[in-house]
Amino acid sequence: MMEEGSHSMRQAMICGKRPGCEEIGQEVRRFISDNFLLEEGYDPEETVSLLESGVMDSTGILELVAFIERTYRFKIADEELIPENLDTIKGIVGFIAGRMM
Amino acid sequence: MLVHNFLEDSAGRFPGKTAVVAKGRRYSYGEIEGQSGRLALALRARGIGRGDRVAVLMDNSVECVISIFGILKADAVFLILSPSLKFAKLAYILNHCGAKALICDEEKAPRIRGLQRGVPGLDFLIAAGGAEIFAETVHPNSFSWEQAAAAGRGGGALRANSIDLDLASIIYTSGSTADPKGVMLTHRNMISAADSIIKYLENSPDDIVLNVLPLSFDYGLYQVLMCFRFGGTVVLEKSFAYPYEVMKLVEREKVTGFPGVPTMFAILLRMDLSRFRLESLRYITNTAAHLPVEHIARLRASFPGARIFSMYGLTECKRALYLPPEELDRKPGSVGRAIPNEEVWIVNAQGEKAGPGVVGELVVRGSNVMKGYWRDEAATDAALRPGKLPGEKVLYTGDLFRMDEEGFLYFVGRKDDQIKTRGERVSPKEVESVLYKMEGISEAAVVPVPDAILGNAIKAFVTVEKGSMLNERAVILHCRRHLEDFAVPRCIEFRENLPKNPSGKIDRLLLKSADLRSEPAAAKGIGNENM
Repeated sequence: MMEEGSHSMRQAMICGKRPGCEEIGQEVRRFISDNFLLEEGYDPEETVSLLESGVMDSTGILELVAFIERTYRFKIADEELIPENLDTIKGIVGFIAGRMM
Repeated sequence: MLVHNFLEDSAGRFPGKTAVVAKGRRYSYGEIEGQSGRLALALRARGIGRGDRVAVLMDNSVECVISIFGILKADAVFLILSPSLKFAKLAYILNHCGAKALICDEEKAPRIRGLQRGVPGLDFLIAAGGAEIFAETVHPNSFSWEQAAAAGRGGGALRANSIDLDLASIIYTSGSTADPKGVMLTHRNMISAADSIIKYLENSPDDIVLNVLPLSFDYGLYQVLMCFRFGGTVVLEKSFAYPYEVMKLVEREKVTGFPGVPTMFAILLRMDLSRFRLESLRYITNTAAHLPVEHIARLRASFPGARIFSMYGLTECKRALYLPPEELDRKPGSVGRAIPNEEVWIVNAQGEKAGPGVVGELVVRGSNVMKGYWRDEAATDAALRPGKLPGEKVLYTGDLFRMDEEGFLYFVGRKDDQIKTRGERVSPKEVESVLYKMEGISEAAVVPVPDAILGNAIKAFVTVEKGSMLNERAVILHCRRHLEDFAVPRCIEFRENLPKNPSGKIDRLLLKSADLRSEPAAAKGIGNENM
């Protein structure tokens, strides 16, 4: 597992100005809004905890994992199933982008 | 003996010992004893007295534990509400039980906006975290945790007036109707259940139990109560959402006891567990739904040092059956026999005691059996019926079982059509009544479909009015607004019409069996994803 500091730095490096991140972000948001959102038009901030804000529950995380594996064609390892990678939209996008580099 | 004596006794024996580990912090028995005493005095100072209901709406946290014992010390009755409850059901429960106060954590404020209007009988609210937002948007009489604690300081000695026949808790659970029912549990009921379970798990003060189950679920709640009874340590986690981290916690805290439900074990078995050092684990327990025999075998291979307990219970008596781990090889499909200090039998359709091989309803006799359902005489009379001794009541569980020649019990199914999903009981009527409230839906029926992770997933069949443009997504979103997560259907099938039985009611059974034939697995069940 990576330290928090280095993790967010890596995320910032990856997602600086790369167009890939924007696309991934849109796809992730679309998946979340199609599957989890409570109200039409609600768009969570990219740093909001999806679990604590009630957008996703623990089975929702499994669905998210299945979606990422299916869409981006890579297998997520057990040790990658951590909040840093999956609990915020920013974290998810950074994680996917990092794995696809 | 009262439930809060668990804390007082352990605080007397081991004042400095860690009672709770939560969010990386450790809290001693002495600390929790002091804080819950101050909370009790604060509750008393605001008018809470013997038998009053005080509700708690919190994620798993030390504040939630302090609240339970504080409420009991004030001679009141505690109710732990599920953090995933939606406003309407939450208001229904608070009104139905006549709660006088609510204790909640800061994050809940946006979800209970306007609560005072919906629950006029609620006198005040205590918020762990800031109270300002609650005073503005939820209830004008809102106090912070710190204010409450300060009010409790110097409040004099606390003398308990409860006796063990008084209610300690009301736990709301799904029934066969759309509205939830309040299971009334006395101190005697809870102590009896806790002691029986501790006996067969052979718990000692050296045990460290990891609890990821919500305290609103009796299985989670009893992990705390039991640890406090035997003077152990409970490690509280909010959920099992991140299993890798949970296993790391088992390693770090040298956890000895791990209670779970089949959904959690199914997830764990997908991981490579050999990389964790899990030798501290002494036992694993499963209840809420049956663990597939194949999962039992794989769990034993993954946790060679741990004894595995297959159990069965319902909120109305907490736990009814357990299978001694040494019988697992011989009886892998069984959930065992009666727990210590309890008696069970099966009755046939005529209400007579049935012998081996007959499928019938399980009946439970013991001091763990609830007092009844709060303000619901009809449901109480249906569940609690005359027992062996004059005046005594025994519990008719509504669950069908079969017994083998040696007295081991095998779960067969529900007598009514309740659905078990993720270890939670869901009433199809509750889900259907939510569907019927949606404009455009003319008929609805809800059935379980098998799912490898959830046990059962919920599927809804609907017919819509002419010209309606409803689609699956809109219907699921509607359900999400009104139902707890576990009760939301995972898929919706639109039909021209729904099959009816001779009395003109929608035939759920036919829908279920036809569905199983045409579709071997839930269309969108997450357990079927190729992970």
